[in-house]
Amino acid sequence: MIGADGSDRAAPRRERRFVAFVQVGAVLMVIGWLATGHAAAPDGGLQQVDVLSLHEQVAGVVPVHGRPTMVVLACTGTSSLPARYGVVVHRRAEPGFTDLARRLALPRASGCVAGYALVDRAGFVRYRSYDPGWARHSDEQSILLDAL
Amino acid sequence: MRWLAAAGLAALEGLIALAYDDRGTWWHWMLHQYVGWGLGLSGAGLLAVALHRSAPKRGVPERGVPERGVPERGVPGRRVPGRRAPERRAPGRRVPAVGAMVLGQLVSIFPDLMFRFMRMPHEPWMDWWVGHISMHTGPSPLLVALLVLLFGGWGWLLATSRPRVAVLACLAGPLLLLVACLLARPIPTSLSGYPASVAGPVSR
Repeated sequence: MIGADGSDRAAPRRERRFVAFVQVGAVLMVIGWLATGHAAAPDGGLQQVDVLSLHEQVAGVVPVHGRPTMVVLACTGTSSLPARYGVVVHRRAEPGFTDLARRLALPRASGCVAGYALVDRAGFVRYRSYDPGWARHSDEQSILLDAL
Repeated sequence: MRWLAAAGLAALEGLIALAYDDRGTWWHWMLHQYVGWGLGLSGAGLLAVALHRSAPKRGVPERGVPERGVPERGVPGRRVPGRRAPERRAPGRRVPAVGAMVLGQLVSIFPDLMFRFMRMPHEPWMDWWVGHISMHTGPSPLLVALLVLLFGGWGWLLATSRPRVAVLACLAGPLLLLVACLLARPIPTSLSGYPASVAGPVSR
């Protein structure tokens, strides 16, 4: 791990350049992230943080056949979760969509920013997150549902 | 062989980045990699300073000033009273940056590795892995992560040439991260705790 370099300049020159390269690259990446319209802290830093911190019942949100269930609020997309999980997808055109989005603390779902809530067998909401790529993230969702 | 190792490491880093991107969590990738790399470099910088300070001192004559007790040039046997030679340390030992960065990165993303390979959801106690949870809801998380990396890099770069500045830079990153985590909002335990309207778009 520790290597003598003999001088301040010779051996580590390549490493110095590498560290400087990483620093410059990181700065450019952050600038690029913000310049392309991404949030500095998506959903207040809570997007896809994957902590099952909730334990709350919400009117109109129930598990499907007593199984851990994902309740999705999205304009497009279909779930790729295995059939052993319950999945309910609400579309914006449905009556009461906006109200449900507000109750699940996903108000921007009304503007077609997809989000979902996870419900345990007893009908408690345990997690909610915005996730515009929700249809492709079944692996992440199944890990959380398995823990319910 | 070195190129092979470099290529393997680059491929591994690429896979890690792709895994984050595949889950739509590029923002998390930036946070945790920057913090991990920065803390790794900070640790390496501090270790290098410690090794540098513990190195044995040795006298080096100042330019143009004969060292005390050294025979004057051209006058065999004659000794002149010169200024006392300053004591300098042996050339510094540098802790390799890449190894330190990878080590810091592994510590920083360990909860994500547990999520992926042990199928374990995140929990608040995972803050022990360098603020893995709290840093999301702390003030300006992206800026904090970037500064941790920049401070760590500067500390490592200056470790043997300007040890005092390097120590300050190496400590600034971890201290900044600690303050950010202490100021972080807790993860909401009820739906009313979520921001009803957060400015800015939601990332993909």
